[in-house]
Amino acid sequence: MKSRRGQSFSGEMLLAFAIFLACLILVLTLWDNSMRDVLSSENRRLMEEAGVTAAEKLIRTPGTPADWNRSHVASIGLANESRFLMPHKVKEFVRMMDDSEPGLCGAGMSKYGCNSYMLGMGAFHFKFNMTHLNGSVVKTGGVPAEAGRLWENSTDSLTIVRTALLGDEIVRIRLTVWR
Amino acid sequence: MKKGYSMIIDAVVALAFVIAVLASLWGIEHRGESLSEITMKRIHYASQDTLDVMNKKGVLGQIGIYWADAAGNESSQAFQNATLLAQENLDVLLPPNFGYILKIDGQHIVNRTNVPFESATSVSQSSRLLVGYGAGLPTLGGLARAYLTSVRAMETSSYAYFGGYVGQGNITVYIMDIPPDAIISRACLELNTPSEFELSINGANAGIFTPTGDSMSANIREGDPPGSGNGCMGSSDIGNIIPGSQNEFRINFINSDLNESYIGGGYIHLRYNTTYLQTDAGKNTYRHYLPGIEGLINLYDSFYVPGLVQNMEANLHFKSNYSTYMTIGNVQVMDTEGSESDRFIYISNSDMVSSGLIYGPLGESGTMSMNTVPIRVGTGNITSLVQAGNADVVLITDLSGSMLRCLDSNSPCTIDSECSGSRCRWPYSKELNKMFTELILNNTGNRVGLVTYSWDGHRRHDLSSDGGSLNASIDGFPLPAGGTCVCCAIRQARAMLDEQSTLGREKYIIVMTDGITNLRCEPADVDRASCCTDQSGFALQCTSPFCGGGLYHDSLCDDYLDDTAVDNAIDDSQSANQLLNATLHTIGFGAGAINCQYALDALDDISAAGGGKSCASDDENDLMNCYMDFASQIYTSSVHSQTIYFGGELMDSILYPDSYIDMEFLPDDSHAGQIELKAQTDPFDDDVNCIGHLYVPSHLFVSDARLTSYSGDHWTDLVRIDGGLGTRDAFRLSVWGSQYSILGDPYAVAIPKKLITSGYNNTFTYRTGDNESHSTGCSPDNRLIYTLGMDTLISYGSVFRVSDGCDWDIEFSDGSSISVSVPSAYSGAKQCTYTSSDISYDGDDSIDDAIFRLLSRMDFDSDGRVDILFDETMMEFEAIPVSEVRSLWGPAKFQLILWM
Repeated sequence: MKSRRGQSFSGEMLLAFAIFLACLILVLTLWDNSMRDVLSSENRRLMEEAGVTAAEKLIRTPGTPADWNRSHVASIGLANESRFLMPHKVKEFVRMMDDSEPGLCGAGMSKYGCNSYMLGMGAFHFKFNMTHLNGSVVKTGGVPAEAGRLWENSTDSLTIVRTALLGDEIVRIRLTVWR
Repeated sequence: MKKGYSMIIDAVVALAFVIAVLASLWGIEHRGESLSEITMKRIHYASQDTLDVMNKKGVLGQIGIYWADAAGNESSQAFQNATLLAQENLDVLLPPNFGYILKIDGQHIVNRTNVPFESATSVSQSSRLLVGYGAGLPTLGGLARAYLTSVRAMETSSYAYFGGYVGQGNITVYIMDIPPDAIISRACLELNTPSEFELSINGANAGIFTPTGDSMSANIREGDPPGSGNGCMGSSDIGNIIPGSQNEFRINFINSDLNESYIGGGYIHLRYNTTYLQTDAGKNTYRHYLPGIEGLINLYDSFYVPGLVQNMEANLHFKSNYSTYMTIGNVQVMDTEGSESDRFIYISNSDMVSSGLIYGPLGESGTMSMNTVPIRVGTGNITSLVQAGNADVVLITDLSGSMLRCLDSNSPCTIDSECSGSRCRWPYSKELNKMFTELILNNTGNRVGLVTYSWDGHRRHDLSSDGGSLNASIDGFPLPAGGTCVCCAIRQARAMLDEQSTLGREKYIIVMTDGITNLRCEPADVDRASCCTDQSGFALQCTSPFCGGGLYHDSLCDDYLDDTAVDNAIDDSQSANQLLNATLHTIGFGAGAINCQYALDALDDISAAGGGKSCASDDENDLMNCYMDFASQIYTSSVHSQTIYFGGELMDSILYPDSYIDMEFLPDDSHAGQIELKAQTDPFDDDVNCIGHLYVPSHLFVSDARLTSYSGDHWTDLVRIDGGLGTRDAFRLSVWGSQYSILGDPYAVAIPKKLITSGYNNTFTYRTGDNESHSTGCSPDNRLIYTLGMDTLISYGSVFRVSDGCDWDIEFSDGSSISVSVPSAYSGAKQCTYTSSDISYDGDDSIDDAIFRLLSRMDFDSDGRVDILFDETMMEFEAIPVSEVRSLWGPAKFQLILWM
């Protein structure tokens, strides 16, 4: 009677198992990376869409109501006609998002936190600023035309640049969307 | 050994599998990102933003101006300016990693190719359509408009219309719309009347007017040129007309015969200069005055309401011993008994409606709104009153030898006693002829002519209304003898009608025969009304080819027959019907006709060819009924005349000229604020096709139009217009009823203004008739009297490079002229003229262009003389820079293409 144990623990068997294990690890790693990239790409698309929509609202719509102000606003728009921005609306918008100013938001809630939803950006955060063509920040009523927040440790962000008129002057609007 | 190979193969297969999985995962890992979509959006928004901002900033407009000035020349300074300006702005507005091209209407203005277009991964383009820019066309300059604030004078008219028949007796009308400042240059009558009359104006004698012409014409005329006719008044008579007040015009007929005292359509026309800008635009009431009539109230008239009637009422003031009635449209709204005292009859709106008048809808047939509505005011219950007829009847009697037989047999006779229980044909035919003649002549105006025949046709009496003379002629008929040449008799009758009747009269031929026509007529000579005669004119029993060549004897009919002779009679009957519109009836008289089917068929065929009927009998009563039926039918059909004839004594009846119909309506539209001038065409002078034309220049409009129609004894029953909207009936009397004699008769038929097209040669067709199927032609003197409207404001014209103005010399239609600087502060050296000898102005100056357009609009006949007179202070203009005006040229397409 012949013994069969020698075949079970042969070198070929070990080699095959090692190769299989290596392949499995590689497959799992690649799969994980692919899924992460797909999700990231999808998030970026959503972020882009939210940013584009918000920028369009800001520079091409008058908001709701058309003569809105901080205490009476349903939707924010900075223009009176397409790409023709109104300084007082810009100023109101900046002050609505300015956490340093007293506001109506409840205790513990920043003004940015309670008003940013009006841009319709969902879970994303934003940073808005308006500059002259030379890059300096526009001031409306002495207040720099900047609003929103920017966190240096954000995992992802993108910036949308648009051009419009503020009064007689051509300005650039940068809307950075991040999370 | 084999097992080892087997293991190696397994390993290779496993490795291949692993590699395949890894490759798939790698593919997933490195699949292209959706960055191209993001990039595309960014480029798109950049191009949109840039174009919009440049447009709002005015930069795009300035580039457009340079481009337009360059007129396509890329080496011009203007084009280089466009390039530089575009580049300067685009370089700032667009990120440096973008390439771009700016094009206007496909022409490259500027491009940047730091990123080669061929290597671009994303391309986007945006465009704007901007009006006001055209290559080579001015974008800077001015445009202007001009208008009149007032007028110094214009020549226009007032009219008083008479209805289609106004009588019978002396007539009074008023003209109330003469402006207070009117300087009357001409006062004329144009009308139809049968007799001479004297005219008085506000009680002062204005002369005697004598008509020259027939009943369907203007026999009192304005003349050509206007003012030269027999209807125009002298300057001293014109002096009796008082502008700004109610002026009475009274027509007193010199002949006291009321049958001849009427006006069959016409008008009084006053021509004058005035400064009043007259217009009926916006008016919502209309009062139609009835003419005053002293004699016998007999009025056929019409009115027209230019909108949707809301209310209607009438106030009638008259005095009449006879019953008096009023019909509006086809509805009798008043019928009162006679009275010796003045009557004031008020017919309220509710009375009007309850009578059956229909006010709307607008322009619908049979409604009061925007239709010419016939009105009739008449007198009834006068026992001696008759209405006139217009029938001409030729009665043909057979005098062939067979007429000397009894009615019911072929037994010979000369007197009735020779026919037991029956009548002898010859004497009985004369008796029936007299009865027939009397019945026809019962209607005044009808006439009868007599023809007999045997071998040939003979005229026994011309058309006449003299019953005694006709009866005497019948009594003198010769003793019957000879053959039966029916075609000869028809030819005689046709010739008599052709010579003695007129267009518009109803024509009839009654053919009586006791047997069978058996003699032929000469086909080559249709006027020959005899069969065969010898040289002395006596008839012969012919054997020539055309008179009796085919005779054969028929024992059943007991007579000689000839098919060709029957065909000849049928042909001549048809000719009478077609050439003269005559109706031919046949009567088969006695046994000779009634017992022979061939004869009966021939009678049927002959009458059918003449548009009539046949009747045959050998019974005296039946035959009498045949004559009476035909006479009755003719009598009824011929009662049409608008004149009431009467005998005996008549008590005057009076319709006072303060009688009126009031209407309140919603105007169809309004041209308020515009100048309106009354004008008239020359007479259309077409009584053959009954057509006239009016061309309305495109910058003018017709706000009111009346087609005049002289209808004589008949009714104006159709006016049709062929304008820009196609062919439309402006008036059709038959929509108000088929029996015209109870309807009014319009003289001035209104044409709804919407049917008259500006910039179009409008064609008018007009017709008179006694009923829908019996047309009676038209008058050559018909014309169109219309109100021409003109907008005193000239709209902005084209863009011109300058708006300086000019010193104008302007000539007016009255021979006067003015020199005026436009604008008043103009101090340049330009001279512009609008005169009959020269029209010149600066075609590159917007103000000059506006003034020229205003002047030419006021020059209605384009003779270089302005027809509306004004002073220099009355002409205003406005000039505005072109940059304030959009939609001039273009649009030009500004296109920005970006790529990266």
